[in-house]
Amino acid sequence: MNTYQVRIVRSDEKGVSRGVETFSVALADRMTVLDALFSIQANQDPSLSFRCACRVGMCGTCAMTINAVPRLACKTQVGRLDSPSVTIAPLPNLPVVKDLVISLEPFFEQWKKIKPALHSEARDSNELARIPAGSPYARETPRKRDCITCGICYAACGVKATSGEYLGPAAINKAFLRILDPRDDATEERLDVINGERAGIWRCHTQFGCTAACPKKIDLTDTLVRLKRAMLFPSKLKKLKKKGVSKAVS
Amino acid sequence: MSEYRNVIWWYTQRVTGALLIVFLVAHFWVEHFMSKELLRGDLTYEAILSRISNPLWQAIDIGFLLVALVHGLNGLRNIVLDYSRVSPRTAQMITAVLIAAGALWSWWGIQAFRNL
Repeated sequence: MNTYQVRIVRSDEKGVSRGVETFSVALADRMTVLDALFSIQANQDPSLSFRCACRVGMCGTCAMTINAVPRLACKTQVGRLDSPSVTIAPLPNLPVVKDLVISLEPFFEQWKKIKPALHSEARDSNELARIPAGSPYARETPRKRDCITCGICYAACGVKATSGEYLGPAAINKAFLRILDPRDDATEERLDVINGERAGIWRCHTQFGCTAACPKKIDLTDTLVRLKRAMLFPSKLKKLKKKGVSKAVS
Repeated sequence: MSEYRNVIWWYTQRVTGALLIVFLVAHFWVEHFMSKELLRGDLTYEAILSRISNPLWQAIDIGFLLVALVHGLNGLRNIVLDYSRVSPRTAQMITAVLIAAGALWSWWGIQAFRNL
């Protein structure tokens, strides 16, 4: 067991900052930041607020800023931070509810704009949709489908820090998945949204902040760059999507 | 080609960026390092005048001017769109002002060759 100084950026239930509080916590090296928070809450300050659910990196609920990097608390082992002190703050670019709890409302407001649900014209069809193994959706998207909407990419995005209107990497990644989805028929609407002058993909500066921070290792910058290139010839993209041929975004 | 206007600006910025590398290297090479007169040590006004009276050099210089203006002003527009909290209408007005400034500077720069 080692003793760590855990510095937590606190705020009251109105989100007003209460400064930084430091707690001493004894932890084994393989214990996580989430374990440290539970220990503090159980033994030192029961008023400490944070969110968590699955504790295995599946739900994205415990996303927070740990030593200046947005990460999942349940997947971050204290011993691997290589530091005797751990500074924990709420995710940036999102409103603070209390302590380490943020509201994901702005994130999901942007998410909704790209029509994340499947919009198929054949909704009443009884025929099973077939996604050929060679289709763009099957070939290009396996890793990109792993998004858990934790908001970490949104918090790590340098553009999002200055632009309230920018859709953010996760929403654009979802649009990319739907655009390539052969079952979906709302490609035109999504292309219009991601083409937005102030909210769309053109604001991305390829800083790789989202890709570096994503806990599911999704190459979000790759998604953005592919979409930018594909926008040069959108008619080709639409035709190829129908044919299920994967060339438009390569 | 794309029906989306923004992709044209994005692509133009990349193409003009690549062209700027070529033009800048050529500019520095010819103007500051490798002109025959410079190497001989007898660079004169007449020598410069003779070079910029050549239609090929004029085309290169005007190309450099236009590429630099498009790249610089479009970059400025991008900064405005990235960092400002102005309304879309104000952003449109800023774009219009930048286009007008670019047209004016282009005309001004090209005029310089008329007096040769």
